[in-house]
Amino acid sequence: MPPSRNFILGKIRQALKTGSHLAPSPAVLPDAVSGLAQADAASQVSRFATELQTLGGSFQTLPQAQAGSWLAQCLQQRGVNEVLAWEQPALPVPGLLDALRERGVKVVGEALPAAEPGRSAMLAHWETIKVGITGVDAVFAETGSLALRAGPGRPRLASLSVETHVAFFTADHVYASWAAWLARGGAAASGEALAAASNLTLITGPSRTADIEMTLTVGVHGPREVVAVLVT
Amino acid sequence: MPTASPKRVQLFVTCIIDALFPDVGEAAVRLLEHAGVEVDFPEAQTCCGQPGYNGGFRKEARRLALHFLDVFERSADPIVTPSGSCAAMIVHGYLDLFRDDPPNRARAKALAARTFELSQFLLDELRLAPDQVAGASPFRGRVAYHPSCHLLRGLGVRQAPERLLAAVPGVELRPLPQAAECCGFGGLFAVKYGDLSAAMLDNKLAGVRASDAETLVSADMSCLLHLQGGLRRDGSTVRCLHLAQVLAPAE
Amino acid sequence: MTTDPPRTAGQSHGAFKARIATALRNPILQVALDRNHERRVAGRDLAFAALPAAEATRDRGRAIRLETLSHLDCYLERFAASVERNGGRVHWAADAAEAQQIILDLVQAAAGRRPPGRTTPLLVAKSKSMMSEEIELNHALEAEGIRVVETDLGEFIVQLRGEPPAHLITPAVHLRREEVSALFAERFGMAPTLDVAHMTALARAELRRVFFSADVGISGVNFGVAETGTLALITNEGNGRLCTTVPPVHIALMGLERLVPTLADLEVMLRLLPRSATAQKITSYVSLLSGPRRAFEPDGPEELHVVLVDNGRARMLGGALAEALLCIRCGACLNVCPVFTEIGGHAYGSPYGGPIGSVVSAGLFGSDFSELANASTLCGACRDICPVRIDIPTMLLVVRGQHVAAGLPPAWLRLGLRAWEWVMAQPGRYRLAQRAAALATGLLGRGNWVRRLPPPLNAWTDRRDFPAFAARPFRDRWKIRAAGKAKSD
Ligand code: SF4
Repeated sequence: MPPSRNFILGKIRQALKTGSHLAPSPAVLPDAVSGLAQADAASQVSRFATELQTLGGSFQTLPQAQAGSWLAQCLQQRGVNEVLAWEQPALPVPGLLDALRERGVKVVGEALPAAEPGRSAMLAHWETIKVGITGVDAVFAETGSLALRAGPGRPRLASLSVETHVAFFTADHVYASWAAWLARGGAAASGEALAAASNLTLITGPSRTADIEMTLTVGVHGPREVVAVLVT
Repeated sequence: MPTASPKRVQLFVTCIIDALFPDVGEAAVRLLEHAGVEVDFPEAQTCCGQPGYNGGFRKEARRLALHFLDVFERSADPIVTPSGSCAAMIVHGYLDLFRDDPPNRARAKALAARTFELSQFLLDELRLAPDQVAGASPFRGRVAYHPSCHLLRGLGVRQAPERLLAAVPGVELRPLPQAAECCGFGGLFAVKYGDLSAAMLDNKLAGVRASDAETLVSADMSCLLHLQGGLRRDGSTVRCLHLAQVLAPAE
Repeated sequence: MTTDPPRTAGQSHGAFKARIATALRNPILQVALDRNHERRVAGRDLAFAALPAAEATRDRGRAIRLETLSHLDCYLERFAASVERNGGRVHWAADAAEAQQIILDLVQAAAGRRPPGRTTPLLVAKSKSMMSEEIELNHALEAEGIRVVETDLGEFIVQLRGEPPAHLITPAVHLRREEVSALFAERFGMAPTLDVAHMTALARAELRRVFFSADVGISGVNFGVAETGTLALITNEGNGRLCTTVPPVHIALMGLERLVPTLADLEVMLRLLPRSATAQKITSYVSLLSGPRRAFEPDGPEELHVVLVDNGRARMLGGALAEALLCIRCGACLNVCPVFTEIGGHAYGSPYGGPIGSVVSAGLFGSDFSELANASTLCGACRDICPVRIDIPTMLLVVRGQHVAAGLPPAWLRLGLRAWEWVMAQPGRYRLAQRAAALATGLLGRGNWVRRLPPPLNAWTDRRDFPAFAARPFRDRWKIRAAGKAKSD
């Protein structure tokens, strides 16, 4: 064990023993959890849509059967024939990736090799892909956010290194807020589930910056387009 | 009209008013007496210790705080002061000064519970109606109110002064832009960082000009000392008056 | 790349005053700071007005931070254990030098993960970390031939200019688009434009190459969750995500006070931080990082290192400035501060400027930095806006007390304050002093106001008249009045 660890912890213990300057922490924390009310599903979806659109994201509702053709059309409009995608089992639309492949779209997303030179080479390829396709773990109405966890067949870069991120979800994924998901989302929203994956990202609208003159600009490093699709 | 039962207070006039602006002290006395309050002036009072405290001279400030406690503990009457800043010093500052001295901290706490800024005392403590207090004022003119930081944020007195001003028949109250922003006085700060203080003063005075007021009112003479000094230097005709001077009945 | 002198140089009152004077005379800075103040404060107020139970949420946030600090040793141990359980590695650094050395070793070790044949200098892609400014990490790495690129747009700009960040949240707050345009034209041959979107796109393209060829990503941490070993990064641009996802090694750098106990606590802090910082309900990205890439995951860093830095925090925890450790670095107190709004971040000469910075700098770096706390009117706007309700004015007064105890104020002030105390401690002396002052100002002044006072009081009369002392002070008038009353009774 490196000496600094014990040295530092010792100093902290000493400080806490002698230091009386910190106000005591209240025995019962004041309660302030909001956003727990589960309003009816329709109004939550519309709240989600409004919040996301306010931030410059897009929202779309589609019957499951049409999702594949709709997506293929989107890609065509953008002149794109390659996507970085989560694997089929992680997507809420059965047969979505096959539908794309049938239309000549190349689907990328297999695991990166851990070692070089394979890792860099594959990343260099991913870097050029313009559209990412993902599912979600949950969406939050209060803020218009998508929650995406890393996992088998779920590349993190599909929602990050691309210009357009398309996320598919179903009504089951909709929660009032992150607090509501923590309270009601069961094992999937728990601390154990969080610690079991390298990453959970809450995504709210496109990447943005206001670093120059506080002028809002979207798409600085992450996607400039976020499309959330509710499949019914 | 029924007023609160006759009350006695100890006036802490503050060293600035005592030495530089005695008219303000007299106006405060007239105002209190008009409101049915009997005023006593403990003559051994000097300064609350704020300049030392704010400068980091805690030992010196503690000595003056002890003097203050000695003087004002002699009577159980409430202590009223026409200064948000000095009131905040007594109410909050003393507790910090005596943080490692429990017996004196207890004394300070007891005194803090009966110490009030003037407008706070009249409206929040005595619960008088604003026109009972200010209805007899002969003042006429366009007025802007500068809420001093220590009254506004230090003591949390947010409305009393303006409610009182609005009750003066001849007052036309003008909104002051960025009213809640500090005027840049800050005691020693104005000397140690004179140019920075002056830049803040300039912002405040731009607001005063925009308000088109003839009179700038505040509940702290320390801010007004700085603001009037700046206005005079600019050749402005705007004059600064303490709240008590606007509210008080004629002599 | 940066060339600032060692930090403690230039911390004298005179040097500080000179930087203030420079800032006050800089019209570009003045416009930028006014804009920052107006928009940020108004936005923050709206954001909190729309937050249900806003005040209770602040109370809870404060309670969470107090609970964390009061049992910091336990939470640190729990956090470290959780990080390691997730497959991360924890490094403890007692001071800046140790932190630099740990990181340097980790970056050099990352050479082993390079693709064969790559001979360019080791490259670090950095996302925002105030701790890295505090420990002057870039200098240390660059001195060893490592290339470090700041990837937050604002940080990227100030790094190109050879400056430190000027604000916790908005590093380039002091610049207009004109300065950025000129900089990009010079460095990247950009055709002249004032189009912010165009400049942003250019930076994106430049930095894209950095993300995908970096050997190491270094990030800060907004909160560490003790329960789960999770690092929370709260960002808008996406650079933080790229730095922590693409390079094979991620090093997260954090002050050891930056913890919350549980995930539910993090959720509360997340309602406070973006609203206070940028008036957002939530930022574009909240990354919750729990360990390196797992075997079953398709991407992510192969290694995750967490460097926990003390650098004065444990000492602060035991002293009168402990409360300042509650800070969540939202920058709201800077935005609302009338002094910061006049002078900006660079004038402070510390990585931590503004009201909380004046406290933290003295707490972490010692009395060399205590003069900063004198540049405040104690107006209390910072205390009112702070999401965790830190009593910053009282902390500033504590620092001033330490400044005096260290014998640092100038002689005129020490003597003046002692004389004042001597006079005021005794009503008789006080009365005499009043007479003397009335006499003196009566001689100096024309009419009732004095236009010029001798040094050091000329700092007052340079801009303002000073009133003459009353020939008959209130206490004399009271006596006369009392005598008159007695007669008429
Ligand atoms: S002191 Fe409070 S307001 Fe200032 S940066 Fe820290 S948390 Fe934010």
